[in-house]
Amino acid sequence: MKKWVSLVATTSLFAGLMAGCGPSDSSTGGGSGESNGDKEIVFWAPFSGPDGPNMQKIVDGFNEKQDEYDVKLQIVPQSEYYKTVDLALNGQEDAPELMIMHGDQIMTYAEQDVLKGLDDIVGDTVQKDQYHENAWKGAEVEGTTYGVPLDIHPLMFYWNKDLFKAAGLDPESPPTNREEFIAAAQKLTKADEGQWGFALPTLWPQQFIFPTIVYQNGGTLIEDGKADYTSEAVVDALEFEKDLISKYKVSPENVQQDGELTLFLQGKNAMHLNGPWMLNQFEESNINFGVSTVPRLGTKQDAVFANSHNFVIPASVEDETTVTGIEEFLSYVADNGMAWAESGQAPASKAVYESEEFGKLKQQPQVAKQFDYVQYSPAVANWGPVSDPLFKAVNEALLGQKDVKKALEDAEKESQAQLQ
Amino acid sequence: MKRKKQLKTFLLMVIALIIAAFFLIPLFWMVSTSFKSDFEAIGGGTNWLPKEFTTDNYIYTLTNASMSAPVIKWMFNSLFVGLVGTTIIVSIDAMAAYGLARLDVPFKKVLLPIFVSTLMIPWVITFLPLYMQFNNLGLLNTYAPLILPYSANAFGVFLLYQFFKSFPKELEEAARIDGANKWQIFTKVVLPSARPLMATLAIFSFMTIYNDFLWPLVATSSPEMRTITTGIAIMQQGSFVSSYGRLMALTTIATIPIIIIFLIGQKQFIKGVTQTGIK
Amino acid sequence: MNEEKKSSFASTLPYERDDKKVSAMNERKKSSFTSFLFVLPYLTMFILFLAIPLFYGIFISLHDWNLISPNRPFVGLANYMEIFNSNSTAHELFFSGLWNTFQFVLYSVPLLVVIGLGLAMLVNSLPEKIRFLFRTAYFIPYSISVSVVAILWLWMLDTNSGLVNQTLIKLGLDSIPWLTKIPFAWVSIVIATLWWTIGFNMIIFINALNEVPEEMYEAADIDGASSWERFLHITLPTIRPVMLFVLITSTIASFNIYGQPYLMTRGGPGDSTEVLLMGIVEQAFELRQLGSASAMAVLMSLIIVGISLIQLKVTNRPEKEAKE
Repeated sequence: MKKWVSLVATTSLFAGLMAGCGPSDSSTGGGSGESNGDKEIVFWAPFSGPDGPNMQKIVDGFNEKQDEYDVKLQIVPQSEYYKTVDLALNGQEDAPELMIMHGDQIMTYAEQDVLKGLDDIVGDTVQKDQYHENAWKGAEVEGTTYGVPLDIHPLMFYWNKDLFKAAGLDPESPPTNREEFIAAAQKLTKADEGQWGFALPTLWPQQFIFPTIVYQNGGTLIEDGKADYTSEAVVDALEFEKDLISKYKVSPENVQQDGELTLFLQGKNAMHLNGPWMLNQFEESNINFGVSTVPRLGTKQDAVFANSHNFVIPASVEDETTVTGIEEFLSYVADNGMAWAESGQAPASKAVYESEEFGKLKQQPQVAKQFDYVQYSPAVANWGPVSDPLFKAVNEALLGQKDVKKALEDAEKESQAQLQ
Repeated sequence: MKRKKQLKTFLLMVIALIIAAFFLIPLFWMVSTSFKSDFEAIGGGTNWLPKEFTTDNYIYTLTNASMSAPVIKWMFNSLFVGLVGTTIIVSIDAMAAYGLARLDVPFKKVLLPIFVSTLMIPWVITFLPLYMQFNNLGLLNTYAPLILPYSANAFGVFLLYQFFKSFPKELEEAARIDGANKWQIFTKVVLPSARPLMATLAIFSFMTIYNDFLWPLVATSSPEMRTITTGIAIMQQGSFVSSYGRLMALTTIATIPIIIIFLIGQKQFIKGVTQTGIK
Repeated sequence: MNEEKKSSFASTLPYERDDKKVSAMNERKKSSFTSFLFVLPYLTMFILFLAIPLFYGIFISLHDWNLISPNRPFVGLANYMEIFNSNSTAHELFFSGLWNTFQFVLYSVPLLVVIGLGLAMLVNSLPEKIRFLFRTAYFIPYSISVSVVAILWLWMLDTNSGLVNQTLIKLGLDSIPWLTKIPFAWVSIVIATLWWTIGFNMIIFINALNEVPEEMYEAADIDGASSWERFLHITLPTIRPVMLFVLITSTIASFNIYGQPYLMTRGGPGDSTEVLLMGIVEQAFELRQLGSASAMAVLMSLIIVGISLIQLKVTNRPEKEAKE
């Protein structure tokens, strides 16, 4: 008797599961009832952190302002984002009409012809000169524009003001070049007390730090479609990083994943390089910190590695009204992106980053200052996996497992194999 | 002689205690860190107890972070998929095992060896195709992939088959003469005696589903569909990075209930291991 | 509803019928149909979630299967050839991952078996009243999920602020780069794994030890055997099948390692703890090469099956000889 009940219960449950009554369905289905003839535009974004509500605010603002279109923001977490996007673009799952894509991903998707070229849209409602010119560089592949910029997020420089004061340094003027940086770091280091001038990460965010130094050295990582990690600019960048540990001794050895961040939050690491997305966490901590542009750690020029968020449209979207709706939404975002700045990011739209309100913020204007000389990942598809060997080489060299040149030579070969 | 034996017992106890410390200190450290202020927690150090006892980390985890880290929902998901998955496994495995052991199932001479031989097949080979299959059905990010694939494992069928094979035929015969049909014999006569073994299978299955990491990681994408195992891993790499006070509060919330369930179920589990015939 | 089901079942049973006109053939068919219903639910699951994926996996491995592109041409064995072509990325990813996985298996499995047995014997030699306390203490971590285990040990072993290194420093010792240098990275991963799973092996061994007949020990005592001799000549041979079970399950589990290095070392330093499953996942979801990733999974499965078979063969042989 009991067994029957449980069996029936199980079977019905099973049937329910097979029918797919998961929450993902209910979230898409639920809203359709209230839409009163509005054209629905489904919009995907990877903003699962504290930045999600800020984007929602912008979307709500747009939906209230007009009644022809109804933008629906669906957040897919960063870690799952591109997996989900892949499947959607593949036509296996309902694709969105609009989505956010990182600048370094656009090339990969554009090559597969799954993104809509936006050259018709840009210049219509959305004007190129509404944005910082460098923002467009991250959204172009071989002369075609595939994305409309939302923001640019370059590497940022954070420092602990209390430690600066204690070391007799001016807490309001952080170092600006290599010499000042080393000098400050040495003053700030008290190895016997476990305090460091600049604890150098050996893993993430080297993906931002290392290219920054290479670009500041006037170098590149990919030359004519080939991996080039043995040029002087690249070798110098890694040797400089290594010297911070072994020669200047301003960083502890063997920093583990996020170890430098832990030290910074402990107040035992005076200077820290990380992305602007860290702002929230730093503000919640007890650290009296400052934020500024990245000092020139290279030898030649100002440069900083950056990634960007862009709006892209899947190639499958052809409906005219939808496209017009998207255009209107994008132009609304360009004018009303202040809410996005509140997340710590700097929108690439001039209307926002040139505004007075924006200038009063703590971190964001510093981010925007770097717009003039940002550089992106090399223009190759799959930069993430292609560059993997490079960052392993950085890791091995900094941990003293491999000689700098040898590590870079090996990595060059491996990356090259991927590119072919 | 007696002195010597006492000394030996004493020494063994000391060793046992040291080893117990190895197993328990990390758990103690987890709970202790979770009650430290975030600043004290991240400062590390060797304070066994918080300087200043605070529940801030718990409050933060359960309120502020509840959007991106709905830890209670994760616990629910883990328990839900664990329990439903286990129920399915135990019921269908028992039926199949009984059928193969005792009933005139067609092709059973072929079916059993096929089932058993798949015991050797590592899970990794089905992992990517399952992903594509669930995707094709539009069922990724639902409970279905978190529950169903585990039920294909032949371990339970094999385990129960051996038991049913040696079940005394006379009892079945007696029930048959009393006019019972196959299903009645199965549920009323055979199953009750297999209960301890089924409990063991249930615990094994539950732990497998509950502890799985990689599969739920790829099969789900929205925060509210995560299991506790995958949810915590993602927070550690995301907005809780290096916030050890909060991370430890999160892991404590996730761990304490399951330890309690485990302590209650422990006896049954140990009894069950004896029953499996792994000896 | 329940009653209906019952009667419909009953009417199909051969021994309840008094209608002799129905042919025996029909009877048998009906009976075997209802019997088949017992197997059907499992068979359905088996086909859907094991048999189909198995062939589908092999099918995918024979195609150039890019996750984004809808174009998936058949390429025969090209994905496999690529893995064996020493200049390719797939080759590097597969073999370095395989080697790292082998290392982990090599370090962890003997410890999982030997220490598991050691703990079982230790617990069994304690006074009966307190046995369960220690057994529980050693067994608790088994109930914790792998991500908690990894985060916990990541924090305990943090180079600069972890409890372990802080204690070492207090004792006047040098701190140890637990997660950033070989061999320490492996040591850390193995410690976390032992902490997490050894309790399970211990429980199985405790049961096996309790099954060893007391008379055998008594007989040995009369012969004046030392405790080492007792262990070697009585305990070990008796629990051999259990050892085999623990050995094979531990080996398979160790081959499938993913969570610990993924969360604790990120595969570092360099790629020295990047295990094969990490490589397969990277190939599938970062490079989007599902075909090549499936080929790797097929090869990995063949290796695991092969090793399990060898273990079975090797460990079973002496027993057979003894019987003959």
